[in-house]
Amino acid sequence: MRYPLLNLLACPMCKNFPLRLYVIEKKVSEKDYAVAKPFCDYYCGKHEKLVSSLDISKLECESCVKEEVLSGVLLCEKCGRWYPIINGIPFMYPDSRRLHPKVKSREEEFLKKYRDLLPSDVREKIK
Amino acid sequence: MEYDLIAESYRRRPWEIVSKVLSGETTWFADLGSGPGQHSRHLATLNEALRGVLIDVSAEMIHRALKETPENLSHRLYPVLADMRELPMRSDSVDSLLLIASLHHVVPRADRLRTLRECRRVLRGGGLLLVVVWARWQKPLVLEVLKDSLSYVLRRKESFWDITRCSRVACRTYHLYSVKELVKELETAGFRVVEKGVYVPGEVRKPLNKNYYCLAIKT
Repeated sequence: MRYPLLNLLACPMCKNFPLRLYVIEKKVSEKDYAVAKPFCDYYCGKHEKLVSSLDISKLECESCVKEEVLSGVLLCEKCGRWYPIINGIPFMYPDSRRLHPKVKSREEEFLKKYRDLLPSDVREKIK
Repeated sequence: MEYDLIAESYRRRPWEIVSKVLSGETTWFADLGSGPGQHSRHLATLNEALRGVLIDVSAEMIHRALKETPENLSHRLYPVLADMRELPMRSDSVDSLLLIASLHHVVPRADRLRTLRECRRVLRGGGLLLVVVWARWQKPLVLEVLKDSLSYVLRRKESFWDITRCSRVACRTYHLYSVKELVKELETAGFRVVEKGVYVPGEVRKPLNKNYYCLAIKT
Protein backbone atom coordinates (compact mmCIF):
# COMPACT_ATOMS: atom_id res chain seq x y z
CA MET A 1 0.00 0.00 0.00
CA ARG A 2 1.23 3.47 -0.88
CA TYR A 3 0.68 6.48 1.38
CA PRO A 4 -1.50 8.47 -1.09
CA LEU A 5 -4.25 5.88 -0.61
CA LEU A 6 -4.74 7.40 2.87
CA ASN A 7 -6.06 10.49 1.07
CA LEU A 8 -9.23 8.44 0.41
CA LEU A 9 -9.30 5.45 2.73
CA ALA A 10 -12.07 5.39 5.35
CA CYS A 11 -13.54 2.78 7.66
CA PRO A 12 -15.92 0.62 5.58
CA MET A 13 -18.28 0.23 8.54
CA CYS A 14 -18.54 3.62 10.27
CA LYS A 15 -17.04 5.63 7.34
CA ASN A 16 -14.74 7.51 9.70
CA PHE A 17 -11.82 9.34 8.06
CA PRO A 18 -8.84 9.40 8.28
CA LEU A 19 -7.55 6.02 9.38
CA ARG A 20 -4.42 5.75 11.48
CA LEU A 21 -1.62 3.75 9.89
CA TYR A 22 0.94 1.68 11.82
CA VAL A 23 3.72 0.46 9.57
CA ILE A 24 5.44 -2.84 10.31
CA GLU A 25 7.42 -3.42 7.12
CA LYS A 26 8.03 -1.22 4.12
CA LYS A 27 9.98 -1.16 0.91
CA VAL A 28 11.30 1.79 -1.07
CA SER A 29 11.10 1.63 -4.85
CA GLU A 30 14.29 2.43 -6.76
CA LYS A 31 12.35 4.12 -9.48
CA ASP A 32 12.04 7.90 -9.44
CA TYR A 33 8.66 9.43 -10.18
CA ALA A 34 7.98 12.93 -11.42
CA VAL A 35 4.97 14.06 -9.41
CA ALA A 36 3.05 17.29 -8.95
CA LYS A 37 2.98 18.84 -5.47
CA PRO A 38 0.88 18.31 -3.45
CA PHE A 39 0.26 14.80 -4.75
CA CYS A 40 -2.81 14.39 -2.54
CA ASP A 41 -5.67 16.87 -2.70
CA TYR A 42 -7.11 16.64 0.82
CA TYR A 43 -5.22 14.59 3.38
CA CYS A 44 -1.51 13.84 3.60
CA GLY A 45 -1.11 10.33 5.05
CA LYS A 46 2.61 10.74 5.46
CA HIS A 47 2.32 13.77 7.75
CA GLU A 48 -1.12 12.76 9.11
CA LYS A 49 -2.47 16.23 8.44
CA LEU A 50 -4.89 17.97 6.09
CA VAL A 51 -3.06 19.25 3.02
CA SER A 52 -4.52 22.72 3.65
CA SER A 53 -2.61 22.92 6.95
CA LEU A 54 0.78 22.03 5.45
CA ASP A 55 3.52 24.12 3.89
CA ILE A 56 3.36 22.70 0.35
CA SER A 57 6.88 23.82 -0.55
CA LYS A 58 8.30 21.60 2.21
CA LEU A 59 6.48 18.42 1.19
CA GLU A 60 8.52 15.56 -0.23
CA CYS A 61 5.86 13.91 -2.36
CA GLU A 62 8.36 12.50 -4.86
CA SER A 63 10.05 10.41 -2.17
CA CYS A 64 6.77 9.56 -0.41
CA VAL A 65 5.25 7.89 -3.50
CA LYS A 66 8.26 5.55 -3.68
CA GLU A 67 7.45 3.99 -0.32
CA GLU A 68 5.32 0.87 -0.23
CA VAL A 69 3.87 -0.42 3.05
CA LEU A 70 4.14 -4.22 2.92
CA SER A 71 2.62 -4.98 6.29
CA GLY A 72 0.89 -2.86 8.85
CA VAL A 73 -2.37 -2.05 10.58
CA LEU A 74 -5.01 0.54 9.77
CA LEU A 75 -6.97 1.63 12.79
CA CYS A 76 -10.33 3.39 12.96
CA GLU A 77 -10.24 5.55 16.04
CA LYS A 78 -13.98 6.12 16.02
CA CYS A 79 -15.35 2.57 16.12
CA GLY A 80 -12.14 0.80 17.16
CA ARG A 81 -12.02 -1.58 14.19
CA TRP A 82 -8.65 -2.51 12.74
CA TYR A 83 -7.68 -3.67 9.25
CA PRO A 84 -4.50 -5.55 8.36
CA ILE A 85 -2.18 -4.77 5.46
CA ILE A 86 -0.89 -8.13 4.23
CA ASN A 87 1.70 -8.45 1.43
CA GLY A 88 1.07 -4.82 0.48
CA ILE A 89 -2.72 -5.16 0.29
CA PRO A 90 -5.12 -3.48 2.75
CA PHE A 91 -7.89 -5.87 3.82
CA MET A 92 -10.84 -3.47 4.15
CA TYR A 93 -13.61 -6.05 4.40
CA PRO A 94 -16.83 -5.28 6.29
CA ASP A 95 -17.64 -7.31 9.45
CA SER A 96 -19.80 -9.86 7.61
CA ARG A 97 -16.97 -10.94 5.35
CA ARG A 98 -14.42 -11.08 8.16
CA LEU A 99 -16.40 -13.94 9.66
CA HIS A 100 -15.60 -16.07 6.60
CA PRO A 101 -13.17 -18.84 7.70
CA LYS A 102 -10.72 -18.02 4.90
CA VAL A 103 -10.50 -14.33 5.86
CA LYS A 104 -10.49 -15.11 9.58
CA SER A 105 -7.55 -17.49 9.27
CA ARG A 106 -5.53 -14.90 7.28
CA GLU A 107 -6.15 -12.34 10.02
CA GLU A 108 -5.18 -14.80 12.75
CA GLU A 109 -2.03 -15.74 10.87
CA PHE A 110 -1.21 -12.03 10.53
CA LEU A 111 -1.69 -11.36 14.24
CA LYS A 112 0.39 -14.37 15.22
CA LYS A 113 3.26 -13.12 13.08
CA TYR A 114 3.15 -9.38 13.80
CA ARG A 115 1.28 -8.73 17.04
CA ASP A 116 4.43 -8.35 19.10
CA LEU A 117 5.86 -5.83 16.65
CA LEU A 118 2.97 -3.41 17.13
CA PRO A 119 3.11 -0.60 19.71
CA SER A 120 1.30 -1.54 22.92
CA ASP A 121 -1.53 0.99 22.47
CA VAL A 122 -2.38 -0.58 19.10
CA ARG A 123 -2.05 -4.10 20.51
CA GLU A 124 -4.69 -3.25 23.09
CA LYS A 125 -7.11 -2.10 20.42
CA ILE A 126 -6.99 -5.22 18.26
CA LYS A 127 -8.60 -8.44 19.31
CA MET B 1 -15.00 -17.67 -3.17
CA GLU B 2 -15.91 -18.21 -6.80
CA TYR B 3 -13.87 -15.21 -7.99
CA ASP B 4 -10.72 -16.56 -6.32
CA LEU B 5 -11.19 -19.76 -8.31
CA ILE B 6 -11.39 -18.04 -11.68
CA ALA B 7 -8.66 -15.48 -10.92
CA GLU B 8 -5.81 -17.53 -12.28
CA SER B 9 -7.35 -18.16 -15.69
CA TYR B 10 -9.08 -14.78 -15.99
CA ARG B 11 -7.81 -12.88 -19.04
CA ARG B 12 -9.43 -9.72 -20.30
CA ARG B 13 -8.43 -6.85 -22.53
CA PRO B 14 -9.27 -3.31 -21.41
CA TRP B 15 -12.49 -1.94 -22.85
CA GLU B 16 -12.15 1.36 -24.73
CA ILE B 17 -15.46 2.57 -23.30
CA VAL B 18 -13.84 3.22 -19.88
CA SER B 19 -12.42 6.54 -21.08
CA LYS B 20 -15.99 7.92 -21.15
CA VAL B 21 -15.73 8.32 -17.39
CA LEU B 22 -12.93 10.88 -17.69
CA SER B 23 -13.74 14.55 -17.72
CA GLY B 24 -11.15 17.31 -17.82
CA GLU B 25 -11.31 17.45 -14.04
CA THR B 26 -10.71 13.79 -13.23
CA THR B 27 -7.76 13.09 -10.94
CA TRP B 28 -9.00 10.44 -8.51
CA PHE B 29 -11.04 7.49 -9.69
CA ALA B 30 -12.09 4.13 -8.30
CA ASP B 31 -12.58 0.90 -10.23
CA LEU B 32 -15.15 -1.25 -8.42
CA GLY B 33 -14.93 -4.96 -9.16
CA SER B 34 -11.59 -4.24 -10.80
CA GLY B 35 -10.55 -7.87 -11.24
CA PRO B 36 -6.86 -7.94 -12.18
CA GLY B 37 -7.00 -4.22 -13.04
CA GLN B 38 -6.85 -4.04 -16.83
CA HIS B 39 -9.25 -1.09 -17.09
CA SER B 40 -7.46 0.98 -14.44
CA ARG B 41 -4.07 0.41 -16.07
CA HIS B 42 -5.56 1.51 -19.39
CA LEU B 43 -6.88 4.76 -17.85
CA ALA B 44 -3.66 5.45 -15.95
CA THR B 45 -1.71 5.08 -19.20
CA LEU B 46 -4.01 7.50 -21.04
CA ASN B 47 -3.52 10.28 -18.51
CA GLU B 48 -0.54 10.61 -16.22
CA ALA B 49 -2.36 12.81 -13.70
CA LEU B 50 -4.81 10.04 -12.78
CA ARG B 51 -4.71 8.02 -9.57
CA GLY B 52 -7.01 5.08 -9.02
CA VAL B 53 -8.23 2.82 -6.25
CA LEU B 54 -8.83 -0.73 -7.45
CA ILE B 55 -11.44 -2.50 -5.36
CA ASP B 56 -12.36 -6.15 -5.56
CA VAL B 57 -13.71 -8.68 -3.08
CA SER B 58 -11.46 -11.48 -4.34
CA ALA B 59 -8.03 -11.71 -2.70
CA GLU B 60 -6.63 -13.57 -5.72
CA MET B 61 -7.85 -10.89 -8.14
CA ILE B 62 -6.39 -8.06 -6.02
CA HIS B 63 -3.15 -9.96 -5.60
CA ARG B 64 -2.93 -10.17 -9.40
CA ALA B 65 -3.82 -6.48 -9.74
CA LEU B 66 -0.88 -5.58 -7.49
CA LYS B 67 1.51 -7.98 -9.22
CA GLU B 68 0.54 -6.91 -12.74
CA THR B 69 0.78 -3.16 -12.13
CA PRO B 70 4.01 -2.09 -13.84
CA GLU B 71 6.46 -0.09 -11.71
CA ASN B 72 5.90 3.10 -13.68
CA LEU B 73 2.20 3.08 -12.67
CA SER B 74 2.49 1.59 -9.18
CA HIS B 75 2.63 4.97 -7.42
CA ARG B 76 -0.75 5.86 -8.94
CA LEU B 77 -2.80 2.63 -8.76
CA TYR B 78 -3.81 1.28 -5.35
CA PRO B 79 -5.35 -2.18 -5.07
CA VAL B 80 -7.61 -2.68 -2.03
CA LEU B 81 -9.59 -5.70 -0.86
CA ALA B 82 -13.13 -4.61 -0.04
CA ASP B 83 -16.80 -5.19 -0.62
CA MET B 84 -18.43 -2.66 -2.94
CA ARG B 85 -21.60 -2.63 -0.85
CA GLU B 86 -19.52 -1.03 1.96
CA LEU B 87 -16.88 1.14 0.30
CA PRO B 88 -13.83 1.98 2.44
CA MET B 89 -13.63 5.53 1.12
CA ARG B 90 -14.52 8.95 2.47
CA SER B 91 -17.58 10.78 1.12
CA ASP B 92 -17.19 13.17 -1.85
CA SER B 93 -13.66 11.92 -2.51
CA VAL B 94 -13.44 10.71 -6.13
CA ASP B 95 -14.10 12.37 -9.49
CA SER B 96 -14.98 9.22 -11.41
CA LEU B 97 -16.17 5.69 -10.74
CA LEU B 98 -16.12 2.56 -12.88
CA LEU B 99 -18.47 -0.39 -12.45
CA ILE B 100 -17.39 -2.53 -15.39
CA ALA B 101 -19.03 -5.94 -15.65
CA SER B 102 -19.32 -6.10 -11.89
CA LEU B 103 -22.68 -4.68 -10.77
CA HIS B 104 -24.52 -7.54 -12.54
CA HIS B 105 -22.84 -10.00 -10.14
CA VAL B 106 -24.45 -8.32 -7.12
CA VAL B 107 -27.63 -10.17 -6.12
CA PRO B 108 -30.24 -9.40 -4.74
CA ARG B 109 -31.51 -6.03 -5.96
CA ALA B 110 -31.32 -4.43 -2.50
CA ASP B 111 -27.54 -5.00 -2.55
CA ARG B 112 -27.22 -3.43 -6.00
CA LEU B 113 -29.06 -0.36 -4.75
CA ARG B 114 -26.84 -0.26 -1.69
CA THR B 115 -23.80 -0.43 -3.98
CA LEU B 116 -25.11 2.43 -6.13
CA ARG B 117 -25.87 4.54 -3.05
CA GLU B 118 -22.31 3.94 -1.84
CA CYS B 119 -21.10 5.07 -5.27
CA ARG B 120 -23.10 8.25 -4.91
CA ARG B 121 -21.71 8.85 -1.42
CA VAL B 122 -18.03 8.60 -2.43
CA LEU B 123 -18.36 10.61 -5.66
CA ARG B 124 -17.95 14.36 -5.45
CA GLY B 125 -20.78 16.55 -6.77
CA GLY B 126 -20.66 16.53 -10.57
CA GLY B 127 -18.62 13.30 -10.56
CA LEU B 128 -19.24 10.61 -13.17
CA LEU B 129 -20.16 6.94 -12.84
CA LEU B 130 -19.86 4.52 -15.76
CA VAL B 131 -21.77 1.25 -15.42
CA VAL B 132 -21.39 -1.55 -17.97
CA VAL B 133 -23.47 -4.69 -17.55
CA TRP B 134 -24.10 -7.82 -19.58
CA ALA B 135 -27.04 -7.33 -21.94
CA ARG B 136 -30.21 -9.28 -21.20
CA TRP B 137 -31.46 -9.45 -24.79
CA GLN B 138 -29.10 -12.05 -26.25
CA LYS B 139 -30.89 -15.10 -27.61
CA PRO B 140 -28.90 -17.91 -25.90
CA LEU B 141 -29.17 -16.11 -22.55
CA VAL B 142 -32.91 -15.58 -22.84
CA LEU B 143 -33.30 -19.29 -23.66
CA GLU B 144 -31.26 -20.22 -20.57
CA VAL B 145 -33.43 -18.03 -18.38
CA LEU B 146 -36.62 -19.47 -19.86
CA LYS B 147 -35.39 -23.01 -19.21
CA ASP B 148 -34.75 -21.98 -15.62
CA SER B 149 -38.27 -20.52 -15.14
CA LEU B 150 -39.16 -23.13 -12.56
CA SER B 151 -36.62 -21.87 -10.02
CA TYR B 152 -38.30 -18.48 -10.20
CA VAL B 153 -41.76 -20.00 -9.78
CA LEU B 154 -40.47 -21.97 -6.79
CA ARG B 155 -38.95 -18.74 -5.42
CA ARG B 156 -35.44 -20.08 -5.46
CA LYS B 157 -34.29 -16.81 -6.99
CA GLU B 158 -35.41 -13.23 -6.44
CA SER B 159 -35.61 -12.03 -10.02
CA PHE B 160 -36.74 -13.89 -13.12
CA TRP B 161 -33.63 -12.43 -14.77
CA ASP B 162 -31.09 -13.81 -12.29
CA ILE B 163 -29.03 -16.60 -13.78
CA THR B 164 -26.26 -18.85 -12.48
CA ARG B 165 -23.74 -20.02 -15.06
CA CYS B 166 -20.99 -22.54 -14.42
CA SER B 167 -17.66 -23.16 -16.08
CA ARG B 168 -15.32 -26.03 -15.22
CA VAL B 169 -13.85 -24.10 -12.28
CA ALA B 170 -16.65 -22.06 -10.74
CA CYS B 171 -20.27 -20.91 -10.86
CA ARG B 172 -21.18 -17.23 -11.05
CA THR B 173 -24.53 -15.50 -10.68
CA TYR B 174 -25.59 -12.64 -12.96
CA HIS B 175 -28.53 -10.34 -12.95
CA LEU B 176 -29.44 -9.67 -16.59
CA TYR B 177 -30.38 -6.03 -16.85
CA SER B 178 -32.40 -4.26 -19.50
CA VAL B 179 -31.31 -0.68 -20.23
CA LYS B 180 -34.56 0.61 -18.75
CA GLU B 181 -34.02 -1.28 -15.50
CA LEU B 182 -30.43 -0.05 -15.18
CA VAL B 183 -31.54 3.55 -15.70
CA LYS B 184 -34.27 3.10 -13.11
CA GLU B 185 -31.90 1.71 -10.48
CA LEU B 186 -29.44 4.55 -11.08
CA GLU B 187 -32.22 7.11 -10.71
CA THR B 188 -33.50 5.41 -7.56
CA ALA B 189 -29.99 5.76 -6.11
CA GLY B 190 -30.06 9.50 -6.88
CA PHE B 191 -28.06 9.69 -10.13
CA ARG B 192 -28.95 11.48 -13.35
CA VAL B 193 -28.24 9.39 -16.46
CA VAL B 194 -26.53 11.47 -19.16
CA GLU B 195 -25.83 8.78 -21.74
CA LYS B 196 -26.91 5.18 -22.32
CA GLY B 197 -26.60 2.53 -24.99
CA VAL B 198 -25.20 -0.76 -26.23
CA TYR B 199 -21.50 -1.54 -26.02
CA VAL B 200 -19.78 -4.39 -27.84
CA PRO B 201 -16.07 -4.62 -26.96
CA GLY B 202 -13.44 -5.44 -29.55
CA GLU B 203 -13.60 -5.24 -33.31
CA VAL B 204 -14.64 -8.81 -33.98
CA ARG B 205 -18.16 -9.80 -33.02
CA LYS B 206 -18.07 -12.73 -30.61
CA PRO B 207 -21.07 -14.58 -29.17
CA LEU B 208 -22.61 -13.18 -25.98
CA ASN B 209 -20.47 -10.06 -25.87
CA LYS B 210 -23.23 -7.48 -25.96
CA ASN B 211 -23.37 -5.09 -23.02
CA TYR B 212 -25.46 -2.14 -21.93
CA TYR B 213 -23.89 0.97 -20.49
CA CYS B 214 -25.01 4.06 -18.64
CA LEU B 215 -23.00 7.15 -17.85
CA ALA B 216 -24.47 8.89 -14.82
CA ILE B 217 -23.69 12.07 -12.92
CA LYS B 218 -24.01 12.92 -9.24
CA THR B 219 -26.05 16.10 -9.19
